[in-house]
Amino acid sequence: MTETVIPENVRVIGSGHSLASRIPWTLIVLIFACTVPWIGSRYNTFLAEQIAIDALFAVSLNLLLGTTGLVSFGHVAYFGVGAYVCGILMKTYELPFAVAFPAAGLGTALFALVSGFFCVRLIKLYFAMLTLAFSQIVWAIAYKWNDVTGGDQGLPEIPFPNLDWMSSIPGLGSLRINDQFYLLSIFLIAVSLAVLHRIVRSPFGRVLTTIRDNPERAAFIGVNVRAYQLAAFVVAGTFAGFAGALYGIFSRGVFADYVFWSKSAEVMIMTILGGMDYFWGPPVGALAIVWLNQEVTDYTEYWPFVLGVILVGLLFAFPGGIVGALGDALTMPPRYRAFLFAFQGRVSRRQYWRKWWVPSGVVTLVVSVVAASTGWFGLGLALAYSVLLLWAGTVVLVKRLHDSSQSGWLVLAVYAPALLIQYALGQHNVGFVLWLTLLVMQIAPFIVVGCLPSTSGDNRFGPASLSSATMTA
Amino acid sequence: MAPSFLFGQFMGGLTTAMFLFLIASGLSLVFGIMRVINFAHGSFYMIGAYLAWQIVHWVHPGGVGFWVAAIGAASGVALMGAVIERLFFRSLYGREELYQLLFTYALVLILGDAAKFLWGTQQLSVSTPAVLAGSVQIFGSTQPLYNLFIMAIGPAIAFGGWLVLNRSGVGRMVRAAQMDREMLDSLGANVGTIYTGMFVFSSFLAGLSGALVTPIQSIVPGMDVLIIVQAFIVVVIGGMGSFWGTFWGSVIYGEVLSFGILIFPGFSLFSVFALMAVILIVRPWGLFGRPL
Repeated sequence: MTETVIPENVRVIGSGHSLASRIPWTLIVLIFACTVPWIGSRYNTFLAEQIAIDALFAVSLNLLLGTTGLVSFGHVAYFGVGAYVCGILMKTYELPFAVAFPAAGLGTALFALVSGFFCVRLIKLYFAMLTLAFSQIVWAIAYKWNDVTGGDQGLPEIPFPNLDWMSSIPGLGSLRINDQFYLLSIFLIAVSLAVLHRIVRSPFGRVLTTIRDNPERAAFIGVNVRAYQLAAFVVAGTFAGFAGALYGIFSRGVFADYVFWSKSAEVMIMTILGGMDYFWGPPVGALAIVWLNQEVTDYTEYWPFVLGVILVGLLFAFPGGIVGALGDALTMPPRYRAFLFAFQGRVSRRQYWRKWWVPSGVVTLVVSVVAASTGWFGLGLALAYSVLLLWAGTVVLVKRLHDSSQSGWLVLAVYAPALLIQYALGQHNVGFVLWLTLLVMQIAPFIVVGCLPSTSGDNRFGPASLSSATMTA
Repeated sequence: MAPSFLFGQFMGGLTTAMFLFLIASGLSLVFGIMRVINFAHGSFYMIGAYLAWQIVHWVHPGGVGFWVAAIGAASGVALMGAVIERLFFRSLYGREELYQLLFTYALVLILGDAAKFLWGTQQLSVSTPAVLAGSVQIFGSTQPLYNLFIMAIGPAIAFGGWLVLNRSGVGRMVRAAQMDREMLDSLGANVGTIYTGMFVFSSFLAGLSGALVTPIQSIVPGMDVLIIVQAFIVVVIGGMGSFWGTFWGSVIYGEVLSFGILIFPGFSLFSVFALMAVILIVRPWGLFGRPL
């Protein structure tokens, strides 16, 4: 095969001959990743390593989730087994990394083979439950088997591998052992991702997508569905094990907490946040989560809350994840362009809240965080975004008014209180209660317009929105 | 081992079992109807516990305060369930189960932090209502009255639920929704209302169990994720969507945990997870459930 054949139903960003597709993104990212110890601080290197390891973990999960369509809710079990095998071999038995790392992969593969054998026999939700059960078994063993896993104390102080050979390479000798290990990790992760990429694009990977899209048909054309699912399960488990092995050394210890079921949900969030329809989605998700976590925890201790809100926004507004949304934005379909920028037509109540408030709220939140943390660039971004937001917001509002047979000019009546109040507030200092009242007065017209009933059937602004007619079912 | 000791162990297991049953029955109900594992069920339970504490705090401790709190907390959680179902859950029914699972997980994150924000991270506790404060001797082992009360409540709810599901018009509708949603819809029944009703009832049970657990367990952040795993195991063992299955699932879980500690100390946790895995492998729909 000289050219990768892309089936029609697979969406590829920047496919065709756009400029973006000709830039070797992966190479640039790889080179950038390798220079972090020199151009960034220790903390940057720490974050970069965390992102890289999470990226491998999330991509391995996505081989099941996005490629094969298997919802594994216990993927952290394999991460944990890899971490424990590598950690125990290196700490308790003092074996070199060159032995412990492959052994971690092998051990995880064996465990994935055994547990996967049972899991792939079950359909859908039962599959998810059994994977969860296996991961909790691993957790229970890790938590209680004091002699081997250290129990609730865990295995602290796992040694770094012996990297003296790296010190003899010119330019690397002066690096700290953490940075040397970072480079080793980047190398191993890059190789792992390349292998996974190859697997997804191989004929084997194509069979997996066929199984995802239609297992019955796949079975009908002679594919042994369970065998393929099991193979995907073992491959995904093995690479999760590699990620775990690196993580144990990176975080200087392996603890039972790593294997608790909520960690499986976290990596799943990364995968979906990035976009599970794309190979490079999960790494983007890992980057976003690690970076956001770091930003948000500066302001508040309620990171899980923020994560939960992001997740809700994601599920309802951007099921394609970041990469999916970017792809949509770059090749914005005409209907979105019309929705956001054309005054003609109508917008139903449902569209107003679901297609406008929720997505724009999420985007605004993200842009605010980015803008707040990036100085002058952020200021420019915030200005440009505000103009865009005001324009699109007005467009949508006008169409909402149209939908209930009102003149679009009424939009001025919606904005007027806000403008007046803002002006008045500029003049005076007011108490909290008055301020709150004024805030409500500003927001109320937007809510009122959002709740106006749609005119049933066609009106002078156009036909009834298709969705408002069919969505009630 | 003395018989009285074994009996005490048995009763301990049974108490755990009946508590779990209160929680797991709601989880099982939602799964049976909506085919959704509601991870947030544990969070509803936690909110119920906090609400109960709050109401006891407002009303006077002791006296009727506790019972007012229990009903108030359960109703509050039921209301929350109604809002969540109507605003969010509803639009996820047609979607893949992955999205539904993750939505309930998002609720776990949000409600967990909301509870921390509202009630802080300290341990809170509620005293046992005066009527049930004592204890009795049965076969030489001391049993707190409150535990016996819970042991009576569990089967009562199981029996009541079974009665409603199998012997009433509402129950018939619910079972029909369980079997074939679209058919019921096209026959003119309001399936949406049935779904909301079931979700609200399940939230009510979660809130009630959260309130009832407060006299014997302190209320702490993190109680949500701990309980949901246990309730989940119970439901898997007994069979999702089956009231009696959940009942026996709780009994099995409670006793395996209680006697597992005697036989393999330290590995009783392992034994319940292993039991769950074995049941999923052999009979994925549970001991008393039906295949999907």
